[in-house]
Order: sequence, then structure tokens, then C-alpha cells
Amino acid sequence: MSAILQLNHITKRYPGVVALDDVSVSFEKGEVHALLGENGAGKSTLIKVLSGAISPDGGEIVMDGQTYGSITPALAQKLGIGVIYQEFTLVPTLTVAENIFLGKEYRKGVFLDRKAMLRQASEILQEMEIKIDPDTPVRQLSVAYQQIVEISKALANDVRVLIMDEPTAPLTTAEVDCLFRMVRKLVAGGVTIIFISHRMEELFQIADRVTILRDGTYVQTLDTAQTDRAELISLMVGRSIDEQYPTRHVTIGEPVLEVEHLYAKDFIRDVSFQVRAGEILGLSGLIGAGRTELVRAIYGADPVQAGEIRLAGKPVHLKSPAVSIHHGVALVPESRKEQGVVLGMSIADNMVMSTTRKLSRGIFLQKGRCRRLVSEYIEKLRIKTPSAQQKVVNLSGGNQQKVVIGKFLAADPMVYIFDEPTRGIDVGAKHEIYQLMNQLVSQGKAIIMISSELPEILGMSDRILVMHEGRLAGEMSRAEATQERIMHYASGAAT
Amino acid sequence: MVTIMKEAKFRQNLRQYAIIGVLLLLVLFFSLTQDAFLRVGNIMNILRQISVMGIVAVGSTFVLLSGGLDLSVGSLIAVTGTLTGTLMVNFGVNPWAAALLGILASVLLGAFNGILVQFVQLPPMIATLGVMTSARGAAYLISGGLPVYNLPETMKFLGKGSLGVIPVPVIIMLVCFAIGWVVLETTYLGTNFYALGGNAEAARLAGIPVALYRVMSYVISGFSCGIAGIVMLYRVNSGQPAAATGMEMNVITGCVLGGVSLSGGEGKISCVLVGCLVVGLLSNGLTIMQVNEYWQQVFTGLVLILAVSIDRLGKMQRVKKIKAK
Repeated sequence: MSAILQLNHITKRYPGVVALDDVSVSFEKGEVHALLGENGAGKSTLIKVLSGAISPDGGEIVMDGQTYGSITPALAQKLGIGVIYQEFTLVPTLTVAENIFLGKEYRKGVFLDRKAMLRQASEILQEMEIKIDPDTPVRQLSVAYQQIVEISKALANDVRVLIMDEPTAPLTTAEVDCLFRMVRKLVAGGVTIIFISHRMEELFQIADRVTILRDGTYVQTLDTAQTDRAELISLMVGRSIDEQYPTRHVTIGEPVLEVEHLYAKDFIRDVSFQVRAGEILGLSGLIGAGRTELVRAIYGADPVQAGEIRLAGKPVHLKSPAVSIHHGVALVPESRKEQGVVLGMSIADNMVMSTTRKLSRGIFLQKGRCRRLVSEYIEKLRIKTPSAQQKVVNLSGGNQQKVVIGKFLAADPMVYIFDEPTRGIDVGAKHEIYQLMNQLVSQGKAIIMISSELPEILGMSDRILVMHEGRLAGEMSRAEATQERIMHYASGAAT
Repeated sequence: MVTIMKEAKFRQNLRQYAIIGVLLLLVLFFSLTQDAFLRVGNIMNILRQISVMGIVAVGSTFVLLSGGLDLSVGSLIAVTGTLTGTLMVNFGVNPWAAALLGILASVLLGAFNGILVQFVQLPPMIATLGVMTSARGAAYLISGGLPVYNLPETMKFLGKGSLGVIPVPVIIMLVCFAIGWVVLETTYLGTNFYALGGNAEAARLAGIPVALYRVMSYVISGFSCGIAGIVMLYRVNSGQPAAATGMEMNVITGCVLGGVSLSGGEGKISCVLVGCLVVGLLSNGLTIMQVNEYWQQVFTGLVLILAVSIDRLGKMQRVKKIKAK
């Protein structure tokens, strides 16, 4: 093994913040090297230094024995450094092949050589043992396949160092396995993978080594074989989190929300269940099993085709989110940037969004009450921000999620539906959200939680429902539940 | 950290209020070079010239903030004017009742815009372009292709009257802006319009009845066009089917100069007033300087491009900084 890429004493300062402080890391040829750290630890900045998006203020980058003070995006491409960002850079209306060769199209004179591109694209896809027709428009593909197209795009560039920023966040367990098979193939072919993920289990599955960053400084590089989860967490946060999933002692009460024979979207079929006061009900299943569709229909975000919903025993017609909130049902949606927050608005304006009416006298907004409420929730949720007037776009993912949660807390509902509440946020913020959920149930609220992370479902739920293709496939208590059992139902093996 | 934020906020405000700087510079320039410019009479003249456009801009601000666009404003003014005029002149309807009916027609057309956008899901540009074309045709049909003259005197003060030195149309415009400001800045209705324009899906899931607000924004625009139509009717003292042709572009210019984002969710109505003033000032000042009308158009276009470019470049820098973090 030899170092293909080295960062020596990289420093990057922004006014008032040192994003990277004298960080040195060395990446070997053909390894999977994970970067681990809380949001704001400097992982993203480090990636940007490598991809040429920003130039460091100090230090050097060594690749193939050549030393560079900084890299431009063009140089990164020439050196074979590729990045797969969390937000894909695909053009949805173009085909797979067109996307793979975007900006480097094969030509015959002034004309595109479509045949050659299709041939080359299917070769790359075959190499990865993926069955996609390169002539399919990208928008018809699932997220997982889109990601494969992203990877193919990098491969078409003869990439030697591939940086993957949270590649597994949108994927189901089966899709993650598929991704990991591809990663292993790439590594076997001598490609170096720099891998970022908040899911700790994955690091142990896929990474050879892991480098921990904290507050812009380098902490340590470890062989994953010689460390464990607890050690990594304590290195990451600089303290040890005793338990990842805090315990609670709550007596479970009467049913609050009852759903009977619900049909929606021509897909959700005959779903019946109930949630009780003080209960966290985990909703598990593969992506596409209909979990999000189910809760959106309950919440009135999408129309219900048939079925009955009762709140505290009384039938209700939740025909829109506005009605649901009025009746005390809130949904914290799965993609916070698209559905949760208005990025261009301040924390304060976002937080009062569901309660503006309550906070008004007549039609006039009572600014003093708004301010008090907002500062109360900023403190309660420990949102890290210099001011309530800060625009949400400037916050980290974890803090944005807290703003979304704060918005619904302010409405004081009886039933909280959390759709992937901790996706893409760091361990510290996750823990705080778990504690908050515990607080809510101890106040007698009911919680429905969708999560694609099995440990989270197992760690937090009192009871677990598993969905498969629009139906409920299984139910189990916390005591009965295991990962295997959930997967058994989720994969449809039980039906 | 806190000081950086303050600085950033200050800069943000600075850009938001940059249009005030532009206004002051124009005032300074014209008053230094043209003696006639700063006279009370001329200032009132400028205000009167922008009054119709300003009234419309109040409604358009609601539409733009909600992430929409209303191209039909000029045609709605024409419908209001010709309908009100015809009702009074040909059918002997009481002027106040006729004015109300004219405004009602404009409100209904606004509602039609809103319904097309919200429920038929037409892109705002297409929906309001269609209404713009049809309503203009309707204005010609209503008036029989000719302007409606010989209006009764009862409500003439709306166009020609003044309170002290201040013309009535200017007062109406200022009242409209004041109401717009109160609604947008001090009520929950206002914050909901901003939320709708900023991220419609997030607003909906937060329990805001976005369909209602989207339709309402066009209704408000229709209402302000109705008011503007009545003012216009009495200012030119005739119901002109060709009235306010091209008004939509002037109004958009005023709003955008005032910092309203065409993608919705951002902008201050107070700055829209300033934006309208800049448009009026430019045309007035250049007229006094005896710059011919064609050159005036060239300048107005360039000022729009310049102002928006400065804003965009500033934003790009900000985005770069955020991304780099």
C-alpha cells in the first residue's frame, strides 16, 4: 500500500471561524477511508479542498508525488479526483448515457456520436453489474439508480479517488448492500474511496480506516478493525454519549389516533392501526413500501381514497394539513429542505409558520409573543445560531431539522408523525432529537416515527409496524423485534 | 461570530435599501442640473404620474411575493375603465355603483387568474397572458371600440382633485401602499404570503391553506387594478379601451427595482414604492432634460438591468460564502 493522496497541514479560515486547522491526512491506494465528524467538524470543507471548490489558506496537497498549494476543479478532474455530492448533479430530463457524458460528449464532427456513448455507457454499467438501459431518462430512475449514474459519471472520468458524501442517506438497506458491492469492486480495481456517512454501522461494514475530525481539527485515524462504535463516538463528540438511545419510563395510555381500512394513492391498501398516548410507534419498511405515502394521507397532505381516521375516539376528516394541525396532528416531513423549511426565511419566521394565527390578535401578528416563543424554542431545542433572524439556509442540517420540529412543537399537537427525523444529521443532534421525543411521550403525546435505520427503529419504538408494498406486513413489540424479523416482513417474505 | 452576523445582516439590509440610494442619487443629479426639478409642482407631477402604476404595484407585490406573476394588470385597468364609463354614460348607472361594478369585474378577472393558476395548474405567465389578451379584447367590445367620453362630474375629483397640494390619485396610491404594508408586515396573512412564495410545499405541510392564499394574491391584484382603473378613468376623463397598455412591464420594473424576487418569498413593499418612484423620477427628469422618449426607454431598461445585476452579483457572492462554509 502506498499513499496516493496526502493532505499536509491544510488550514482554511473563514471570517471568525477556522473551518480546517492544520489538518493532515493520508489516503492509501485502494482503501475505503471514512471521514467521521459532527456537522461543522470540517468534513465538507475538506472535500471541497480536494475537489477544488475552494482553495486552502495554508498547507499542501500531494498527489502522485506532485505537490499543489491548491487545486482547481479542472485540475481535480485531470488528477482523477471525483466527488459524488449529497445533492445529485444529474439533469433529470436527459438519458443515463447523456448524463454520464455530459460536458464530454463523444462527437463526430459537430454531431453527437450517440451510438458510441450508448456503447460506452452500457460497458461502464455492465462493469458494475448493474442493469439499467443507458437510454432511459434519469428522472424515471429511483434514487438508488440515480446514484449509480452519478458513480458511472465519475468512472467515465477515469477517477482514481472517489469522494462519496453521505451516499447511503437516501438508500434502503438492500440498495446500500448493492452500493457496497460496487464500492468493493472499485476498491479491488485500485480506486481509493473517501466515504462520509453518519451511519456508524456502515463504517464498520465498508471502511478500512476512519479519520475523525472535530471542530476543524484532526483527531485521529484508526483501523476500523481495531476500534468500536463507542470509541468513535467519544472521539467525534469529545465526550462519551452513554447511551445512543436514551431510555424512558412512560406509561402508555389510551389510543389517540386510530386508522381503519385506509386506502390512498391507489397504493396504500387496507391499512389499520392505532397509536396510544405515550407511545412511540415505529414504522419500518423498505423505501417505496408506502410509509411516507401512508402518513401523508393521514396528515391530509395527499387525498385519502377510503377509510376512517379517529382522534381520541371521534371520527375526523383530515382533508388538509391545515385541518390536521387544527385537530392536533403534525407531520415533520422527510426532506427538510423541500418540505420542511423555507430556506430564505429566518428561523423566527419559519418557527411561527404553523402558529401565526394563534399568535395573532385579530389578523395582527403579535411580534412580542412570536419573539418570546421563538427564543424559548431556540433554547429548548438548543439550536446553534447567533440570532433568531438568521436565515435557515445558513444553518447546519441538524439545526434546520430542529427548526422544523420547533415549528410543530409550537402548534402543540397530540400526535407527532416524524418522517425520517434524523436523516443526515450528526450524532449529537440525533441524541437531542431522541431525548425530545422521549419528553414528548412522557407528556402523553403519541408519536409515529418512520425510519430507514433499523437500529433507530429498534432503539426508539415501543411497537413496530412493518410495511410492504402499500400494506402492513407485520407488527411486533419492542421486545419481540429484531433486525432480521423486521427485514423478513419488509422484504415481503411473510406475504 | 455574532459580529460577523451583524455585519452580514447590515450588508443584506444595505442591498435591500440600495434602491433608496439610487433614488437619492437621481434626485441629487436632477436637482443640481435642472432648476425646474425640485419644485413642489413638479414633485407632485411625478407622484401623480406614478400613481396608477403604484396602485397596481401594491397588488402585484402580493402576487410576486407568493411566487406568481400577473401580466393582465393593464387589461384589467382597461376593462374597469371602459365598463364603468359605459355603465354611466350609456346606461345611466350611478357613478359610485358603476365604479363598484367596474372594480368587481376586475376582482373577478383576478380570481379567474388565480383559479387558472391554482386549480388548473397553468403557469402564471400563460394564465395571465391569456386573460391579458382576452380582457383587452373585452375592453374594446364593451366600449364599442371607441373611448367613452362625457363622464359625469360626480367623481372627477378622484382623477383631477387634490388635497392641498397633494393630488387625490397620489393619496389613493399612498393609502394602498399603507394598507399593503400593514397586511404584509404586521398580520399573519402577510407572513403566509411570504411563506407560500418561499417554499409552497413547506408552507402547505405547515398547515397554511396555500390554495386560498395563491388565489387571494391574484384577487388582491385584480382589486388594485380595479382601483387603478377608476383613478385612470377620471385622470384621463374618458374610458379608454387602450388604457395602460404595457403597464405590466412598468409594474414589474418597479417591483423588481424595489427588490421583490421574481421567484417569490422575498421583498419589501416599502421598497416597491421607492422602485416606482425611481421609474417615475427617471422619466420625469429625462423629460425635463429634454431627452427624447426613445432614449428614455433605453435608460429605463438599462437602469432595470443594472439594479438587478447588482443584486444578483451580491447574492452570488453571498451564496459562494455560504457554500464555502
